[in-house]
Amino acid sequence: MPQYFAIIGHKDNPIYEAEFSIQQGNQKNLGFSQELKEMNPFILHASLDIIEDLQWQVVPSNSQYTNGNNSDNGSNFSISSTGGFLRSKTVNNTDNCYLGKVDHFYGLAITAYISYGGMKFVMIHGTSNSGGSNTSASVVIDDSACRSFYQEIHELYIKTLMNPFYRAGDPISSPVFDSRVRSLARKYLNK
Amino acid sequence: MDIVAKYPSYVSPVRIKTLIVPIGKWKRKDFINAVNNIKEYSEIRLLDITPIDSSLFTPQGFPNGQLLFDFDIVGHNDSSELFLYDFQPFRKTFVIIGLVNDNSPINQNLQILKEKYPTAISTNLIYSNGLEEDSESKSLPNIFSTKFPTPKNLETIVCDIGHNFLEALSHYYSSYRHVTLRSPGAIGGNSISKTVINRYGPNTLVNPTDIQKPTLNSSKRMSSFEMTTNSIKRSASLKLANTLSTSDGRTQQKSKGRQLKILGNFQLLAGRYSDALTSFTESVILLYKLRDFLWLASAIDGIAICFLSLSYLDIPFQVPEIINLLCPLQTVDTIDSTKPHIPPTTPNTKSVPRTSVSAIPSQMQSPRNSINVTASFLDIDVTTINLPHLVRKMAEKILYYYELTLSSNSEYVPNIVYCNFVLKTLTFMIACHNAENFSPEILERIVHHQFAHTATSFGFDDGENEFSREDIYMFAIRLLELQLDNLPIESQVTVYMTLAHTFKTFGFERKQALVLRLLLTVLSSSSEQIFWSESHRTIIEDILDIYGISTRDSDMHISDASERTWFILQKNALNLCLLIVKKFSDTELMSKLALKLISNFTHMLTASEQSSLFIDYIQPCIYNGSISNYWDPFIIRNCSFQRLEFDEPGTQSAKLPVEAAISDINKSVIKDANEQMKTDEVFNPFRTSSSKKVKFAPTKVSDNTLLVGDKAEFTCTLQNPFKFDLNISKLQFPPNILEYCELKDIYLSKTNPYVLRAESMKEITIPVILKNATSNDGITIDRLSLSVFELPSEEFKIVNSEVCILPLDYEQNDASKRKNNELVLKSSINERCKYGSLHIKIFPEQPQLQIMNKSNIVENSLMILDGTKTKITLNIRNKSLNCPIDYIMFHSISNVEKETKSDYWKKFKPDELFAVEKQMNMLKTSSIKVLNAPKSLKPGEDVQLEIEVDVTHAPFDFTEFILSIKYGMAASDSNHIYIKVLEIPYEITIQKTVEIANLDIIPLNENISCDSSSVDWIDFIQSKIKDYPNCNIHDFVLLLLDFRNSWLDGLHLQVHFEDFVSKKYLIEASHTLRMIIPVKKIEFSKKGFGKKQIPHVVEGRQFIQSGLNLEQETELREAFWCREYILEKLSCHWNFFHDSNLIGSVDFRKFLEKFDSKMVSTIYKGKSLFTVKLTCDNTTVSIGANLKLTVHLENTRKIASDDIPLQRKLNIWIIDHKTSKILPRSNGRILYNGTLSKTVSTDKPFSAEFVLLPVEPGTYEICAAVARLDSQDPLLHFDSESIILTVNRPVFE
Repeated sequence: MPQYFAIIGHKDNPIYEAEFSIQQGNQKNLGFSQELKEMNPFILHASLDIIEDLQWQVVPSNSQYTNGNNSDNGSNFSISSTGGFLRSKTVNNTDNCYLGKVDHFYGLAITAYISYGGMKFVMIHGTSNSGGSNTSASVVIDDSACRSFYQEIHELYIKTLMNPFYRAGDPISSPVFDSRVRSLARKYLNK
Repeated sequence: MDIVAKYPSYVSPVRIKTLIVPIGKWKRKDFINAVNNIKEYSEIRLLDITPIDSSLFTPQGFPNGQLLFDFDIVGHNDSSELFLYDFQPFRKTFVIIGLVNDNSPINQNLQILKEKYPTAISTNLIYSNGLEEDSESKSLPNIFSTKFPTPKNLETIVCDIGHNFLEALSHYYSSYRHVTLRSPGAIGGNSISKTVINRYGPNTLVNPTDIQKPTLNSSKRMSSFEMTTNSIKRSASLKLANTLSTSDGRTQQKSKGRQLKILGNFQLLAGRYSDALTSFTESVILLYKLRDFLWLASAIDGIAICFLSLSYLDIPFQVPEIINLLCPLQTVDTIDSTKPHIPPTTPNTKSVPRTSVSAIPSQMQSPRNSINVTASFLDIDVTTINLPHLVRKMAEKILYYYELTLSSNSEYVPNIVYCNFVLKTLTFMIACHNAENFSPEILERIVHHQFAHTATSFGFDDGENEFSREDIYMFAIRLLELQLDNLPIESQVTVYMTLAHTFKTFGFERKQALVLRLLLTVLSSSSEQIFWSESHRTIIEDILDIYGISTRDSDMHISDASERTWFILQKNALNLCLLIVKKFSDTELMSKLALKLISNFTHMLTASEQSSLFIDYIQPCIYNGSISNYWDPFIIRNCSFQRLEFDEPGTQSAKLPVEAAISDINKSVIKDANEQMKTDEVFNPFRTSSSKKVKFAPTKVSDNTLLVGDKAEFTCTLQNPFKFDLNISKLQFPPNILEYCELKDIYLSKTNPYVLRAESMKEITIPVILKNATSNDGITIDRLSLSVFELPSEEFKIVNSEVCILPLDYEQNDASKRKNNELVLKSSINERCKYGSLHIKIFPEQPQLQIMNKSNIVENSLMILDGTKTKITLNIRNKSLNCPIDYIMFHSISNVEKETKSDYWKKFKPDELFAVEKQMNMLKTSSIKVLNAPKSLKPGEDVQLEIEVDVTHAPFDFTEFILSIKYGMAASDSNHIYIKVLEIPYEITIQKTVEIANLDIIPLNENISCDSSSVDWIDFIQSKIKDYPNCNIHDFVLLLLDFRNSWLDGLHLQVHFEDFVSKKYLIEASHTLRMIIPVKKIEFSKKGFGKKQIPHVVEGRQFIQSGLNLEQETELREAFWCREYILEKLSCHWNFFHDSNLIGSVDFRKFLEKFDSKMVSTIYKGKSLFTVKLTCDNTTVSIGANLKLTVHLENTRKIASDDIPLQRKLNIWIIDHKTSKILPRSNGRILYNGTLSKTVSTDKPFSAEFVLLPVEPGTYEICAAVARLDSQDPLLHFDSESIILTVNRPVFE
């Protein structure tokens, strides 16, 4: 299943954008459809509203956004156990930065992660056979893999920040960064 | 259709759809006003309506109720929803009101309305201009008359319309009574779009460790009651199921249930809410048993509407038992006791605090028990429940039932119904969300379907609201799970607009933008005719705002230009907006957006995108005039002027005059005469050279100085950053410049535009017509008027360069920039670029001086004899026809001056320098003179100039000179003058005539015999001696000059010295003549030459050090002044032997050498320190005779200075006069006693005697000399006076 990943700055400016797709054997590249490719930035942009809302919630009620129509399924979210992005100052690890699934749009799920600097790492998860048309197949996201992916991306981002030639808020154009992000995507998302 | 659709209200089934149609000739404004008048009476109490005879719908049955009219002026395609009229009869447009403002016949109008709107059940006419009292009209119940805009009886009219409606409704219902009601799917068949829910599986996010349980999706929304009944269904052995499954009874029951449901709907419309509640409740009970989920859901919906309507009317009611069973709800008491923040999204058993009611383990339930349980429920009074939550729960239930129908082939819920329901629930939730309590205002808002106007600012959810933000959001995005594509466009628009509004209310602007974008996508792809009004622009403006496009103005602010935003997002959004705007042909907005896109996202667009943007959007906008300005403010880059075609090649400034202030001219004339610097200034070596030039030519001729009538070109660089060609059809100066000059417009025209290629910067050159002279300050061009694509001409500033701020700088300067920003705004300086300007001066038409070919010399070459003058003539004419020459001035410059280096004076000694400069000065001032210089020349006037060339003082290397004529006319303001220069070169060859080959000065000692008086100089001396007794022959010296005639002809020569006039001598060609000129000695005591400085011709030179000591300098000065003395008095004129008219003079200064010290001491009487007088008793002696010499020595200076030692040695020298050899000390020719020297003291006069004895005959010269004691050099002072001693042999007889 393809993903569209972006790092968004403070002014809703994309700092990094990438689309991950899987290469399954001799099958064709399973990316987003052309229509969705155009829509993806818009969808991602729209979900920033939800992410910002979650970011500043004292009592996170993440579950409401993510699974409004289910709660009986037994999947529990880390965020509800550790208590929201705002509480993260009391926690040593970056667990609270991971917001989990924040939004969805038709067949697409959206997960997000916020760095302490307020950079939003957002990803749209497409369905594996998404041709843009209605498919009942739902996206299944491996929560822990996704979390690890985000955490490693966060690390990469911090490394980029430490580059004296990089100005925070500028688009990241480093090919090294890009290739590492893609390899992380292969490692965690499209196994 | 109107795309700004109404937001569906939860209680819209209560409202009677009414269409108001204009008949006659209405103006839109008047009509809308009239409709608004009617709208004020949309709520009619049943109490006010005349009763009708139908028991079901008579207003008397429920006087508290009311009719709610939904007046609309936008027609609705009823036929498209025909299949829904059984299921949702309220969708129909029931009432038609025709608003008539003319006197058209009633019947005809009614007929037309009925034809046009056949499905309406009640047709009414309102004559707005008052109906004439007509018996026919009065009799008809549906004809009314009033006066707009001040209607009086409008409420009565609306009441009567309501009455008509109720009557019609009862008829209408009666037609339904015996019909089997079918579901929409069954009526419409395949054409009805089924709801497709693209819902997420709950396990979107899983931990791999979690086992994905087969969740009981079907049961999750069930209440315990349903679980109970479900289990009943599953157990096939149950009696109830058996009875229900008998098809006959089942159909009957179903039909009855549906009938009750539709009755409930009609009762809602008729305002009889409590009756409707009863009907719906019965219907629900029946339908639930039959599992007719579609109609069941609709009936439950009806109950919810009844709840709200009754609450609105403030009528107490009971919640039916069945509802409580289906949607278990805690009473208010429990709500108060629990935390208010209850996620009521899901009516699941887990999240809702359990009430005792719902805590029934479903699996264990036996059917018998379940019935008991249901029996235990009682109707709950409305006051004890939280109504919004109840409605919400019912909504969930309804949705659940709707979703259950999806598996059916015909009994499924149509997409439109489902969507509509979600939407109206959403609006309900938002209405509740906006207020803290479920207040009457909320009800009012719900009933009157007013959308909450972002009344409260949304902060964090504090739990006080009925529904939390997340809750509503989660509900809202259910709509986005639906496949909305196949809905009618109208419904889609409604959905998206409602969603957009919802998100806006929450402050989810980005979500709003996304929804609006979806809306635009839908609109752009739809083929329906869509009505577009100005107000709909807000949609577009909202999108632009949210995506940050409208605030971007990269033309003006560098921060905007360099800001990094989501360009792709912005570009795509803009493109979409453009597409829509074009579709609706809102050209004004289209032009705005297109320009925004092209100017702000130039770099993002590909060539094809740009060209299509241009062709599809910009060009049409240009043609229809909505784009009136060219959008690139930096189109004009550098500008310049070039002059063309000078008359005389190579002389650039020939035609172009120099402008000078008149005061400066006068000054410079003076300066010119004696090139002097101010003496009181300290010499500044860096200023000297420049200051002179500046004085003379005060204004530099710059390139931007032009002449009226001149041929000139204007060049400017134009840029085209876009990927399509620009057509430039006009380029001109702004109007204030046009007075002076204009660009020829034949080169650029609409038919022949200049094509500026894509992505290029091109220089364009256009001839300029120079029309009028500017003032001497000139004019500044800082903008040009330009027309691109035949747009009206517009002025663009000239941009010299863009401002580039490096990102780092930008950050650092951020603070300071912010300060500057205010300034920038004030002065409206564009911070993106530096503006340039072009300063030009246009001079008036100038006179032109022309040389006529009438000169007396050939080819301006002249051969001239040294020492003579000649005249040359020159004809000049003012060639121009209308410009007088107000000012003429002649100058000449010779090659000598030209070739002199500027630092020539550094190497010379003062006397040499004087000589050189004197000569140059003479050359400048006296060699070339215009004898009849005119002051001014009228147009066309010509004048013959006589120029005198005098080469008397000219050096022989004077070979050419240039006569420059400066002329010009005064400017109109008479402060300035325009000067042009005409230069005429002449070549000169100076032929030598008389030269001075040699010079000598000798003292005169011997007395001259009187008989040689035929010699001119002797006569002169003798007459002098005669005339002046004091005068003595020793007072004279002789100046010997050798004149050489280098010319081919003999010439007569005469020399003057003071009052001495020589005879005329003839010198033949190539012969030399020595001339003797008697010169009186210069009295030392009278002329202190040694103390007199050598004069400077050019004053003011400082730091010149001769490097001489005092003695040397004195010597130099004496030599100089002696020479000057001679030169001053000496003159010589000559004329040719054959042509006595040709006369000339000799400039001795050219020829005379510097005087050496001997000459100086000869001529300069008293130069020595002592006067030595040597006397002799007899000058003619014979051998053996004693001769007594007396020497008298006297100090001439009378002052004993230190450097002169007191002791001197006096020597007597004896020289053989014939051989001019000094006789040795001991010789055999003249004997003397002792030595011929004596030590003397010089401080007082002294006399000594020497006795000589001549031994050999001969002529001797005896002289005395004073020498230093210590020095070997015997000669200190040699007095020129000597005694000639003649020694004769004794005559022996």
